[in-house]
Amino acid sequence: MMWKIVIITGASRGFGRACAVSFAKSSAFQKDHCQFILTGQDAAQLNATAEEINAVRTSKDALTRIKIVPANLSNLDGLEVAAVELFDNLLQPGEKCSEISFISNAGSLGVLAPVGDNTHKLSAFAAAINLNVTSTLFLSSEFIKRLPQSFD
Amino acid sequence: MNVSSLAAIQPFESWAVYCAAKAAREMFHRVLAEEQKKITSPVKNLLVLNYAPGPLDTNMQKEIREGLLVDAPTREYFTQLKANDQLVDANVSSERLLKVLVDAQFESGSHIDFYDLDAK
Repeated sequence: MMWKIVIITGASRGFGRACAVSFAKSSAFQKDHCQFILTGQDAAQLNATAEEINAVRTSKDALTRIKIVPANLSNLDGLEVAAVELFDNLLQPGEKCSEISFISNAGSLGVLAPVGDNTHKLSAFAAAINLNVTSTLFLSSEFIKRLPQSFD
Repeated sequence: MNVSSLAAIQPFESWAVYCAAKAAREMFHRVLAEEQKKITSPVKNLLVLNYAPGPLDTNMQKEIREGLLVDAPTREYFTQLKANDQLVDANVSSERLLKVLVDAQFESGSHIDFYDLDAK
């Protein structure tokens, strides 16, 4: 059984959710078995994204599998576990992947003020860089490491 | 695909942290694209895209208009964008992104902006 796989961070709302629905609706994906792995902080919102995916998957023969991974990607302590949840063991025995996409969307604004402004604090720098840079780069690396798994 | 921003490649006053973060992500993925061009097995054709979705009408945008950690000029600018109906619908942007991905005609590692796709 051939599967197309789509992994999206920040999938609970906004652009992440929009991407999930666009993949699900795409004519390039309608006839294929599709697996979606969705991560974000809000489990209820991730489930709502899952419902929107299911609503547009109209082909009777194409299966849809959705995995919800609630996670706070700005928390470095949980990142390695999150990477395993997102990228490991995506296929059952006998299944193969025909195409895999990773949409690295999760992000935050950080403090929006001139560099010397008093609103800039060390903890805010760390949080913004941890989420937007550290976890993003780490997850892309983890994704690449596990690619052979899906295609061997 | 890395969700990027015009802020990744252009400086905007008050946006130093966001610009720096987006620039870091963009360059990392450009390097990844170069590395992947040399790999032919077991995964063929891994394409890397830096996509700037445009100023989206989402919660993040709302945070800019209403947030505590946003300076006044920035809040004003984006409140105007919203008032003038110049924000981009997230679904419109994601549909354009899907077309780019499915067509797969882009140079891996490139930066594509929502507004680049206007005429198409």
